[in-house]
Amino acid sequence: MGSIKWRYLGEDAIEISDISSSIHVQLGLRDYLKGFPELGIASFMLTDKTLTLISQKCGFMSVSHIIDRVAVYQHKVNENVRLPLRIIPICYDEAFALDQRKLEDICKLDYEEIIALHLNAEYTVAMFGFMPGFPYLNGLPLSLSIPRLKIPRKIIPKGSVAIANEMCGIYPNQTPGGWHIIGRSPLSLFDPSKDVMPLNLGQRVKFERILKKDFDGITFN
Amino acid sequence: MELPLIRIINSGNLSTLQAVCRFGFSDFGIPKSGFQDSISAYLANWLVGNKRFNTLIESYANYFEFEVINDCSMGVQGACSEIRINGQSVSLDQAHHLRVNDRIQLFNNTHGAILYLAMSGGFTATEVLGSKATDTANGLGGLNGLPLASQDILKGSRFNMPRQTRSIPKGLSSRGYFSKNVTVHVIAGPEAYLFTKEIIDNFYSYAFLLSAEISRVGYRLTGYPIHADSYNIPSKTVLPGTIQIPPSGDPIILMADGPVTGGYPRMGVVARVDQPILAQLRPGGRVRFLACLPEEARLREANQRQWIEELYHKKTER
Repeated sequence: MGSIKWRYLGEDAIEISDISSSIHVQLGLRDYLKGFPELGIASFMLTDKTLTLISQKCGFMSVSHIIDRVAVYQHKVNENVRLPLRIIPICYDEAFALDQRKLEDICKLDYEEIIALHLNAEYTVAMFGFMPGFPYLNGLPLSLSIPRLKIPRKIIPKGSVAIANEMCGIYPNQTPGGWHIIGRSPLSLFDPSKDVMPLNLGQRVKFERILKKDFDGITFN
Repeated sequence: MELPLIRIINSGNLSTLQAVCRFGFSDFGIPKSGFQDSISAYLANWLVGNKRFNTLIESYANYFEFEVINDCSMGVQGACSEIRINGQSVSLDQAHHLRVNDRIQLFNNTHGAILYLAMSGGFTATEVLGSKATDTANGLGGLNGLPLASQDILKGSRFNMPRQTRSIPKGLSSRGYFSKNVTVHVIAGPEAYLFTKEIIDNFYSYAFLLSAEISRVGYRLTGYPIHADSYNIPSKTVLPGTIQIPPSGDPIILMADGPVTGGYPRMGVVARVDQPILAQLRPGGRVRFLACLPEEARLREANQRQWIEELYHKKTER
C-alpha cells in the first residue's frame, strides 16, 4: 500500500486513512487484520476511505506491528466475486417523498426523472453510522448529488429513504435529520431482538418501486 | 431467584440502568453506552459485593427516593451528599442493609453530577446485543430501553448479599475528584490539522463553560467559540470522549450514548482516565484541556485500573 497514513483517535484507537475508495479493498484489509488476533484489535469501523481499529481495553501493545501488517497487505481484487444483491422496496408517493418539490427545484428535473435515476442506480453499503442500522449507500447518480438541508428536519419518519451529497441513506427509525427525503421503504432495517441485520457492509443494493396501496401489505422477516 | 427489590418514588433527572458496555456493534451504528463515571460505578458495585460491571442505577438526580420491597444491600457512590434511611442520615461510603418498607432518600449538593446506586446481586435489565446498559439515544437495554420513572419497580437477584458491611477505604471515595473546575487530558484528534496553531493554543488554555445542554449523548461547552479552517469533511468514527467542533464553534464532547460517526472536525479525544471527571462536571462548571500523548494517557489509566483491581481482588469476607 506504500506509505501508510494513520493517526490516533484517543489512546484506544487508531485510524488508517486514504486506504482506497473500493469497499472490496476496505473490507479486505479489515478481514486480513482480523486474522492476527495478537494485534489486539477488538473492533473495526469503516468510514470514508478510513478504517478505524479499536482496542478493547488498554490500548494497542504495538501500533508499529499493526502498521507493518497494513503495509504488507496486498489486495488481490477479484472482480468476479460480486457481493450479494439486496432488493429494497421503495414507495415514491408524495405522501412519503417529503422533499419532492425541493428535489425537483434543485435537480431541475421532474419527479419521474428523479425516480428513474434513483431506481436505475446500483448502490453499495459503504458504512453504517448516525443511528443503529443507518446505511450509507454509495452509488447515487451525480445529477442527484445535492447538499444537505440547510435546516435539519425535526422529525423524519421511520423508513424514509433520503439523499445528500453523493450518498443515499435509509432512516431505520424516526429521528431528526438533514437529508432530502425521496421516498419511503417498509423494510425494517434494525431489530435489536434479532442478531442478523438485513444489510451488511459491502452489500449491493437496488431499489424496487412499489405503490402506496401495497406499502402496508409488505412485511419482511 | 429474581424478586422485586425497590419501587422508585422520585426518579430525578435522567436515571438509567447501566452495566457493561455494548461493545463491538459500532460498525452497525450502535453506541457503547454503559457507565459514564466507571470509577464511581465500580466502587458502588464493590460496596455490595457485586462484580464491577453488574447492573446498577446511574442518575443525574439531585434528589432520588425509593421504597424497599424486599430486603437487599445498597451501595451508593458518585454525586451524593446525604443518604437517609427512614429519615435518618447514615454514612455515605459504606454499604447499608435495607429492609422491606424502608424509605431511602439520596440528596446531591456536591460539585458532581452523577450518582450510582448498586444493589447486591444487581438489578434485572433487558439484554440487547450483549449488554444490559440503557442506550438513551436508541431505546435499547435497561428497563424497556427507557430512563427510569417514578413508580417503576426494579427487580434483582439478591445473590452475594455480603455478611460483612463494606466501606470504601479512606481516600478512595469518588467524591474526591468532583470540582467546579476540572482539567482533563486530551489526545490530539485526527482533524486537529484543520485548526491554526493559534486556535489550538487557545483551545488548550481556555476554561470552557459547561452549558446546560448535557445528556448521555453529549456535553456542549460554551464561552470561547473555536473555528476550523474547513468543515467540509466526510463522516468519520467518533468515540465517547471525542471533542467535535461544529460550525457554531461551541465544542461538543460525545458521551457514552453518542453516535458512532460524526461529520464535524475532531479536535481531540478526552483520555479515558479523565472521562469520569468530565462526566461528573455540572452545568456552569469549567473545563480546561491539557494536551497529552497516548502513551501517557495509557499509563495514567493503567494506574487507575490497578487500584480498582487491587480493591476487587483483596480477599474480603462475605
